[in-house]
Amino acid sequence: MTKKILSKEEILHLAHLARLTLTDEEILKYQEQFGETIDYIKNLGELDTKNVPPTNSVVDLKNVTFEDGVENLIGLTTNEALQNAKKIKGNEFIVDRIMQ
Amino acid sequence: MFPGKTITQLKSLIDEKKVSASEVKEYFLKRIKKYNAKLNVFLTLDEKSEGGVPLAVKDNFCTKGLRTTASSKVLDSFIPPYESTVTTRLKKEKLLIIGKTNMDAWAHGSSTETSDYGPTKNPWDITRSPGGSSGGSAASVSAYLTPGGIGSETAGSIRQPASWSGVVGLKPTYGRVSRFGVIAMGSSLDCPGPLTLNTEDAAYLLSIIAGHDPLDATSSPLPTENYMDEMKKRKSYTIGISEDYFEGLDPDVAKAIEKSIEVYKKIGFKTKKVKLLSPNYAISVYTIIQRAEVSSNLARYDGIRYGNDRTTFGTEAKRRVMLGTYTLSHGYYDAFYKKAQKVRTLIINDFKRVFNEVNFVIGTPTPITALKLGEFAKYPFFGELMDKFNEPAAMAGIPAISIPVGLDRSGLPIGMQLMGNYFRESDILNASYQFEQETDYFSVIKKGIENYKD
Repeated sequence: MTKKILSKEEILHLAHLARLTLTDEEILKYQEQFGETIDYIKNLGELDTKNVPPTNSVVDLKNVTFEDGVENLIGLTTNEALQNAKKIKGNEFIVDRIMQ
Repeated sequence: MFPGKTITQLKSLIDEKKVSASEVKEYFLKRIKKYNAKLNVFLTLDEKSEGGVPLAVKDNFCTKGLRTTASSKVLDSFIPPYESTVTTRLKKEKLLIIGKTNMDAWAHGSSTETSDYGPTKNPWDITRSPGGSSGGSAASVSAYLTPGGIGSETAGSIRQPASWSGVVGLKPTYGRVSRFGVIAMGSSLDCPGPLTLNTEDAAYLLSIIAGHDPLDATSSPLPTENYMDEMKKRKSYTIGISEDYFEGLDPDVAKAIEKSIEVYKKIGFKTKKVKLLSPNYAISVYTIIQRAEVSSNLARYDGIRYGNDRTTFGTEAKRRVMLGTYTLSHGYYDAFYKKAQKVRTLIINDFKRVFNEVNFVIGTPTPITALKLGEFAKYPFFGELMDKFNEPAAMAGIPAISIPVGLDRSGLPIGMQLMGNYFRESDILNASYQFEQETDYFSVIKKGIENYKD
């Protein structure tokens, strides 16, 4: 069995950051599997990247913007924007209360 | 009525008024209804729309008014209010989106087994996986439920199912085909492409979907080529052979690829030994960057504006979001994400160097033929290892094709892969077309269809 590199608390912290709920079984499974994955990806350490710039995107494009005043082809009507929402009131989405 | 006819052949029949578009549609609808229960290819059918030749489209392309789920219960009842650029362009060419196909949920996987709607079965052996994540579209073409399909790749999701299901699968250069309206997985990697019965259809579909799209800021403004014409010019190329891309192959797969190299030599292609970085590094770069982009892309599913809430994510999506959150988190960002971005640069430079010497690098998309359903789940990191020959091209963003080159000892299809230089889709299609003309290997496809009688 691969070693667990993350504690249960660390897994729960990551789950909180990602707004995910995990079962006890998932927590245990992820602890083991992350160990396996992180062990594997350590092979990148074999390559010298000291003077290598990072790649964000393989396409050589900079500052792609729409011209001012062009027709908006991606706008939605209010109805379209709301059509898939489970809870709406008038023209608004209903969200959970954050401050109690 | 139309046994095994390709998209371009059917299109000619319709254009010449030898058959009507609705006859063609009814023919394929009938086949879909006959076999879909057995193969689990389509999640949603559009029986009402009229058009021309029917296509199967992976369920991560938004289709206005037609349910789009990415095979996840999170989007179980999602009806897109807008249309992807790829499907817009297909419809403009009078192609009919007859249905949306099953896939790994969010495209996370190489077998369709992570779908929340059950796996698609491989038409060659229904106890096996068709590959994935575009497994539904590949199986649809393989069983001739449609004469062609659209899939998408992040790393291998077109080439691998094409290989396992015995059809042609083309992954274009990143940025050649618009991602607008495609449910995002790894935004710096995602790439739509065709799954077809032959090279000509791949060239035909690419000529429709390729080209600049102002709605996708990463789409390339470089001009497209006439892929159909370029494909048919008799050209001679040099094929690069890198030993690392032959490591760990099943003996039948290795033999088939070696035989393919001999075919190319016979028609006058040159071969040259080249040395590329081991694909084992691409696995790590891919694992880090893709998980990071997944964690960011899946953050938008809040269940407020559309879809169900985050408790409906399946275990594979959660695993990837968790790992991405970890590698992007404070203290680990440089060690993992930034390091991976730097090695990505090395992979790109490595291919650029080799493409100064050769036109293609040859290999296979997968070291083995189709696995039994259930095998992937036994090894969580297995999918990445299985996709090691697809990940380098994905990380570099270069185009590649998988074409059928025979059957293994169990009668399962074997795929051969050609990777090409940036925006050289026409070269890849040309070499694929010459191979198709020279050999009867593509009869694999026809043989597959014979098991699915009208």
